[in-house]
Amino acid sequence: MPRYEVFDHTADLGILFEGRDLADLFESAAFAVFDLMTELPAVEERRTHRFVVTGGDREDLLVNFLRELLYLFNGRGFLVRRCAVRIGDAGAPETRSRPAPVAAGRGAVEAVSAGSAPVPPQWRLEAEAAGEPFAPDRHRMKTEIKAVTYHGLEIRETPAGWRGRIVCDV
Amino acid sequence: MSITLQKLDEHRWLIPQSGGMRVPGILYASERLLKEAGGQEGARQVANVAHLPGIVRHSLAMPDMHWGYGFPIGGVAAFDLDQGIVSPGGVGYDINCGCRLMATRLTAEDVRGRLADLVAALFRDVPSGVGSRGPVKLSAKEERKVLVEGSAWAVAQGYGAAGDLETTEDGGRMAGADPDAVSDRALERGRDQLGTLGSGNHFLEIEVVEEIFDPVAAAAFGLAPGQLCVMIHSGSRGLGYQVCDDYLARMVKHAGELGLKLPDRQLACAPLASGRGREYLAAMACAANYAWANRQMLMHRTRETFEKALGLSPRELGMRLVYDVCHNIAKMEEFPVEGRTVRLCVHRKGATRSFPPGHPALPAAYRPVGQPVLIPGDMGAGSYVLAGTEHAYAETFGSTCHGAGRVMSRTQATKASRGRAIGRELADRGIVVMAAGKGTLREEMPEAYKDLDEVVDVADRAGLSRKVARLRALGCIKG
Repeated sequence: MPRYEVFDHTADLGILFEGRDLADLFESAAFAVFDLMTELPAVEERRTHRFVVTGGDREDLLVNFLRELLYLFNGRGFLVRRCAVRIGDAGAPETRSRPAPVAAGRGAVEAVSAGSAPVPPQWRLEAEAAGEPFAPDRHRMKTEIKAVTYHGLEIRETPAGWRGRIVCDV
Repeated sequence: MSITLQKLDEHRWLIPQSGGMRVPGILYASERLLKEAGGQEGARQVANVAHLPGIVRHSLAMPDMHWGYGFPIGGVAAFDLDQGIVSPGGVGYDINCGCRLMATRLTAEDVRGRLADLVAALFRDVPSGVGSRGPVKLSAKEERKVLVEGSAWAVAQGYGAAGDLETTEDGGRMAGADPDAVSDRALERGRDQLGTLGSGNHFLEIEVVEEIFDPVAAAAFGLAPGQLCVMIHSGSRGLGYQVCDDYLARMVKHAGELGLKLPDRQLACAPLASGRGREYLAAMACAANYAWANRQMLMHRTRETFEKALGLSPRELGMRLVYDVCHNIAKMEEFPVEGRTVRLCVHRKGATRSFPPGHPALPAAYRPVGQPVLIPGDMGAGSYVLAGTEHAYAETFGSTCHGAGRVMSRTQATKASRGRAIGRELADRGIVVMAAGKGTLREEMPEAYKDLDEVVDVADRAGLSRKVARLRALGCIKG
């Protein structure tokens, strides 16, 4: 089971999470977000959403990834039980120049696509999120995480694997 | 880097300019509030804001200041229109989150014994909590109208009266709104949330005027002791969040182009005089208008619920809008700077406008006494009504505090409240509370917030706004 813990931030919610490798770290973050929002055992894996995000660095990639996951819930009413992640190699030229698929919405496109951006994103991630539509009668909401922020954002490699830190708006 | 505060006087603390700071910082706080302001983290955020280009005079923090992300909560900063920037994180996710106070012809006596029924009726009729939907599903065309017209759209649909617009900040409509600047995702999220309260710290509270400090101003605002009032705290819902997030992502992505070294990525910004800056302002105005339409509809639903639950005619109830203020916003306003009147872009993140007597932006009835400033407290603490001052206009770009401000994190509050029945404790004090979210009552427990009286006293003594009336809570619904 992926590991995380919350830390105190006066107005909001801070999450510390760990992973064996970078992809595992991102999966821990995804688990933490939905585990904090709802009672996950009640969420079934009925459907999957696939998406691709890019980012200027690891931290940016993490924020853009969690943004997409939150949008699945906040915008589409979809609760994620499990999310599998593949992260492209930082230096590989094909992952650098490959444009990301276009997601819904103008603002969102800007946020996630490589396209003709002046600074090409260095990082690319493919995700497969499994879960089901939110049903108020079956899914108890705990804390609504409304957004992820860049404040105090951190990803670092440790002797045991990877550690991350993020502050969410609730 | 540790930050040293220099005491200027009883209520002001200076953060001297150092490193990349372009101006000094000033915190408005008592010794006690300073201890509760997030320690180094809060002060560092005030210093961080001072790094932004085009900031004028000072980076400011109001008495309810606490640790946020990017800007502190309670942060105020004004920017030069040519050299300055606009920062989506400096406005916040919930664009035009704000408060609205309604007065009635009733007294607390009139609802004695019927309070629980009234709160239950409000809880049933006013949509609140995660995933709640409003009374209308907007067509794409109608939604664009909401984004441009704000409160006026709601009034035209029959939600309230034209007079409500006069007593709303900026008439409930921000100019320059362009729905084309709003993403499809934001539009989609906004389609069915109009007229919903939301979750977290948003609420609707039945209150009674308990004490009057300034009889002249209270009379101008139409407030008298014993009078029954309603306070609403809500914002632009998912639409505002999406607008902030979309533009934050965009500005982080292009941050390199500005050649700025920012101490926190959450401060990402764009020059006010750039296409990206203007586009954000056009989208932000849409979200601000959505929030005003939202609070207008919430007020209308509240009025109907009161009439039905108490069996009163609209005339007997006489529910009237005292004022509506926003507290997460960036606005173009004029202020005196070094002897000249200058137009600036003022960011208020968790801060309330506090315009002085005589200001042309005020409705005629309030002009002699100053703008009503609405300060809600924590659950069960009630609220204050204050009036704007000349001093705030001169010193803080016409700004004051916006609430009690958190002192405990939500996790701390949940832990501290273990084994306690918060709802029952409030009931024992005569306050009826209903909440949609399971953890909301514990996260929002009274001890999680600073002492409202202390915050307001500091705002009053520091001259940022002056006390007019205190209201006591009777019943509350939370998201």
